[in-house]
Amino acid sequence: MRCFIAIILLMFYVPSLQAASVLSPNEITLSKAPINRSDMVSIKRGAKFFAANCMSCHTLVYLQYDEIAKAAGITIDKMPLHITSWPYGIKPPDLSLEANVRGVDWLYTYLHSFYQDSSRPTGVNNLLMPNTAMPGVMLILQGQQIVEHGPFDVGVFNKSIYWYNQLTLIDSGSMSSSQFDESVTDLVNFLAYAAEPYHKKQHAVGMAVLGFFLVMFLLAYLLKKEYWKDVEKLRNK
Amino acid sequence: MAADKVPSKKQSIESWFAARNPWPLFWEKNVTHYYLPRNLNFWYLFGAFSLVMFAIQIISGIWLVMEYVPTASGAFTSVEHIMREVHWGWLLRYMHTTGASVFFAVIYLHMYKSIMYGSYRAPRELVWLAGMIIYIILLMEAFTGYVLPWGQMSYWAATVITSFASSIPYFGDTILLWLRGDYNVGNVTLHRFFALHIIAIPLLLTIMIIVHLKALRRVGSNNPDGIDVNTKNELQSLSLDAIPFHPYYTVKDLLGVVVFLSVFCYILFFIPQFGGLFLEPTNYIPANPLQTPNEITSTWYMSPFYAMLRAIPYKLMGLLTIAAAIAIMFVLPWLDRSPVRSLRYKGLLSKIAMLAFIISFVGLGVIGHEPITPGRMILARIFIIIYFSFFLLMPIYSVLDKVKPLPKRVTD
Repeated sequence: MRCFIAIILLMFYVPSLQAASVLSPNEITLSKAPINRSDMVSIKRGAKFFAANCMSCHTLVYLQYDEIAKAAGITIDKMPLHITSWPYGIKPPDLSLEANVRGVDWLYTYLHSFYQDSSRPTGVNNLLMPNTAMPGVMLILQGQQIVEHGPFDVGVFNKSIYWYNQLTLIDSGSMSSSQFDESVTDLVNFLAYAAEPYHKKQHAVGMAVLGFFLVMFLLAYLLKKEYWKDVEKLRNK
Repeated sequence: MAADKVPSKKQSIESWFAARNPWPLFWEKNVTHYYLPRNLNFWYLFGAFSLVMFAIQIISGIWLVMEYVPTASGAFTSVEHIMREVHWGWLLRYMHTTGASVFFAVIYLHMYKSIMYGSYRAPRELVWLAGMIIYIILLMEAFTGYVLPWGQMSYWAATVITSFASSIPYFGDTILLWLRGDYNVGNVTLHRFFALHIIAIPLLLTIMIIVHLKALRRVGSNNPDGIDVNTKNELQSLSLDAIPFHPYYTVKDLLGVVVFLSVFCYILFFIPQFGGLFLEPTNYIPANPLQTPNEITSTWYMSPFYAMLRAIPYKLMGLLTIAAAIAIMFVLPWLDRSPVRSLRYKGLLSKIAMLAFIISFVGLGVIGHEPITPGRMILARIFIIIYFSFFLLMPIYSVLDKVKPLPKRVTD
């Protein structure tokens, strides 16, 4: 039996090995978003950040009845729902579920990894999503960044490349580096909340349910043990 | 006549009812006097778990239908409405999505138990066949349900899977049109999948579960030793190793169900996406007929078959391979010629075959879920050969195999 399990586990390991060997050249290791999903203060700050910086282009349609979003000024009438002609013909995505589509670490890394690129119509490019249509909103806050080695110059095989290995800050923005990190963390935290507003309740109920089953387990175990005493006697008959 | 001899009104109603009520007899026959071998181990809990899963899916499903909108324009939004605005809607929906995957996990383990202990062998062939039909119905139920949220993966899975019909010679395009109800997967397709998912298939499933259980009651349970234990309810022939279902296995199942539901609830409340296996990231994007996702992979419970499809060069051949892979499981009871049922008493050959079979099936599952590469393609083909060899060579190796002597009574 143990052998079976070991081999099954090994089976899962094989594809992950292969995945490592086909690393695409512009693979950037995602930085871990240091969010705390139960920190409501951070989520509310993120909502305000969203209202001020993101809502001129992005919608959050599924949050139209959400109290936290409303309190931060994110309401359906202020969302850019009726704009038909976007620059470069690309409609900015609705971000209600973006944290589930991309993952929070992807969002955190993406928002950090814009850099100047005069070949792009927007003047900026992104390490994680080359040729993104999103303009350099973040660079105003973060400061001007340039690519140091060229975005596709990946070093030694299997070495983790983070966005900050590739980009250099050449001019400070309206925020200090740590302020910017905190703001992006709040924003990503808010987007995680936007994707799953029930998350906090889900965990709280989950703990209660598991507690209930723990008690049930003890009772069911004692009940089974008591009844099966008779069966033990059958063995020697 | 003395007044006290006349039955009171209450007594006469009771006796009238007792003479007609089928329940006590049913209870006695199927619960208190239904005997099982005493050595059934934890593998035998998965049957009970799948009944629990069936109940959870039906109940959560009923409540989801109350708010779900089965139209191409309303489906995705209504699912988000359930998740956000409906009270406990997230719980119901996560119950249903986690339930779908856990149901399959339980069913696969239940099937594994049957193969391991030879529960498909005579006289239990009909139990196995009914179970296999349930498995196929479940695959259909899962597929039609997967389409309903109308995300990108829902849409493209529906497109890819229905397009298989077009590779049927001569009638392909007609069947495709008949399946989709339109020239593309769209509103009509969604609507009919909804009807099938909530009425037709669950009804079939209910009937087949009854058939499966009835067939089992007729012949009695197998056991890990695979030896005959007389569980027929006649006191003179009843085996010393037979114990009644109630209270012994009801309390054991209760304990098992508590542990099982703890695991189920842990996933439901803390990791419902299960790392993208139970709910794929791409399916959080609304269906877009104009944009194909970068990679269309199958859900994990169908991915062994999807891997087969991708590894075979011609689509029709791939489909025939899948059909054969499922069909061959139906004839399993007649392929096994071993004098013993359980793997415990089979020899090295059968054990190696079993191990190779598990590796190939799980391996195909992993490959089917990953993007295809030439290396994986070759690996998948090797696994397909092993998969079929397990069945096709069984009449040979099960006879050649050196078996161990069977015990007279069940072991612990």
